[in-house]
Amino acid sequence: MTRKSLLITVCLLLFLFLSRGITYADPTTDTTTDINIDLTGGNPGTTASGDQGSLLEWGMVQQTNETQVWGRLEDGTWGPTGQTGTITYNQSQPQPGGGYFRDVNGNLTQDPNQDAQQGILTEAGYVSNNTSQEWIDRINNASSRGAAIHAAALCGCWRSVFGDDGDGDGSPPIPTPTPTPTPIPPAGNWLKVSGGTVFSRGAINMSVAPPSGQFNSTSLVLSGGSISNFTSSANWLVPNYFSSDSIPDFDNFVKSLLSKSGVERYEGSRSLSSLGSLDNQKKAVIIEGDMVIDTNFTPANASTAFIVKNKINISPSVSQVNAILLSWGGIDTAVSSTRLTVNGMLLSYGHITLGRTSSDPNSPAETVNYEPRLLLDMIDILTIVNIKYKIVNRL
Amino acid sequence: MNKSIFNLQFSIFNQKEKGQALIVVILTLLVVSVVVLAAASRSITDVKLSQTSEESARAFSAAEAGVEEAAEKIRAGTIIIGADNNVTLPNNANTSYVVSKQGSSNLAFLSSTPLAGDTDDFQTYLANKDDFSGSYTGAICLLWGNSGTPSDSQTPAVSAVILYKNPSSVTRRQFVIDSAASARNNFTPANNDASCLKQVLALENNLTIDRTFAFAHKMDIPVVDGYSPVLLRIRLLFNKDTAHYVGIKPVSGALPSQGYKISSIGSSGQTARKVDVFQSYPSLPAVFDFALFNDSGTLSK
Repeated sequence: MTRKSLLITVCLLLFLFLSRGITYADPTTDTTTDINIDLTGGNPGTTASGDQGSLLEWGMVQQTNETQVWGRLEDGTWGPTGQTGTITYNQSQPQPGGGYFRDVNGNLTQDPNQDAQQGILTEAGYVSNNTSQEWIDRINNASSRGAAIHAAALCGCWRSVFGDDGDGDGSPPIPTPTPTPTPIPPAGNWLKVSGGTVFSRGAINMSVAPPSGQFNSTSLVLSGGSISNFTSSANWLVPNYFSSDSIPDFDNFVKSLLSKSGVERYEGSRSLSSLGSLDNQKKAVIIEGDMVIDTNFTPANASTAFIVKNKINISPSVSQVNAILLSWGGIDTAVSSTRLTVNGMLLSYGHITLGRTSSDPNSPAETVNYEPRLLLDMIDILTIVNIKYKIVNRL
Repeated sequence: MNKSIFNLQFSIFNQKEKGQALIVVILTLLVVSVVVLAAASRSITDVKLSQTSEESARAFSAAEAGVEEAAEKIRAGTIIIGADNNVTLPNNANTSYVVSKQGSSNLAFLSSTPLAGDTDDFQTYLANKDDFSGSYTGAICLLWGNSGTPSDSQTPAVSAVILYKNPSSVTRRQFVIDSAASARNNFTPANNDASCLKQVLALENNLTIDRTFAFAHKMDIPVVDGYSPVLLRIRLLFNKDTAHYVGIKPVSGALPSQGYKISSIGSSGQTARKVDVFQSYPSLPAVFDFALFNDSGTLSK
């Protein structure tokens, strides 16, 4: 056997070894789905405080017999997070030598040199069969990795993601140093709030301003810090505003409501779809846990307020919620290219995370339309303030 | 002879002495009786006063118990307006209360407590609460700020939100009136109109107390495009450390009812006490004035 045939045989065996167990699907088939990953087990090997919000990017790395969730933290370290969350990925398995990526416009593309464009990716393709460490190294070396908007959901193979350079060793091409591209946020990535006051304890910092002739707010805007790329048609912008607001105690708030008609209380966490119909009712729904809004909420002839002790998570597929949302633990609209409209109020004593994207500049990614009808309808239910004074007469 | 005379005199003198002793005894008894009777009388009076005081306190407590029960029924939505409610209490006390709706009034409607910071709300109905009919559509005077409030960075501005309603929908208008020397953030400067006197006399307001405000602003609240004003919600802005009173004064005409009047009579024994309480209609917490409220960190996208 000549050295050349030996080399060919070794390469063939190596290819077969690396290709084992792969089932290739049609790469053009867009079968986007969600996978849920348990991330609650702490944060080993990293210095992050532990919540999903501290990750700049994260993804799933599958090795031979294990699956781990890896994340890049704000301090730049990369490692298994042990945290929980949902990532969206595309199940289409690309052919070796090319990666499939969903960009911010929702387009699925194939490009072996996607590492240079990673900064504008919203999600990466599902690929398999490689060592995670190589992929991690590759991610570490990618010049624009810190700007990734969404997670990469990967089962291993950096080679398939970034492409085999064809030199016979199965390795990816050596990245050519390229200037760091400035991430260009989609033109529709702006927030529109109509008919009510906007308040933020901290700064208001938007990456995209609304198009000419449109405004973020039609009313008063109060910000505890600076205000950038956020406009008001009333021109009532108050930066560096100090508010004496203090967070009311949830239990006391709820206690004052419980004996009233029109109040429904649930212990523990609930999803919206588990609550049953709220049509034709004026109701305050108290949830003493987390709430997942997993379906559109457009009840007929109804006024609804969701009062939630912990966090409100809005699923990526939800596009409309007609209700008052009041949370003590934060509100997350989820990363999604589906635009979201809330006809009601979006109120949080925690942090509001706005994750929706839109490529159409005239269609904001998130819209909140203040609905004053809800205030009138809820005035006998959500009351906690009464003014009294008395006059004493002696008979 | 002389001895006889002497004996006779002595006898007479002796009999006189015996009479004097009787008088002394009688006088002594009289004085003692007076003292005893006075003491007894005082004691009886004290007991009566004590009883009256106790009954008075018990009657007052009974009246207050009636107020509390009425307030709870209002809160729970189970009160029957105009109905007599009689409740028998322990220790021979009982209470009788009636809840009515306070009538419309051309008096100024003032906050009974000052608004702290920027999160307390003062709510005024501009239409009947039950069906939002009979809107007040004239001019009003907004009154705010404690007398003597300086004009500086903490001078309170006023956010006034008016809800308007037509038969099928509700809309909202917001005004921000600034009392600072030069209006901040493109807000409307307070006009301190001459028809809006900052001093409101006791006879001119719901609290029947004299109160002087620092700032005043006259504004019209007409029907707009078929929408009638139904509710006015006021909140202070820029206000940090000092709580300020606010008030609304109708320029002409009367504001609709702003709440309930609870009249409760408590009685115990022969004593009765009456307590009248005004309880405003329900008001929502200030957070519901916001379309978007992010109370932690930066709002970013």
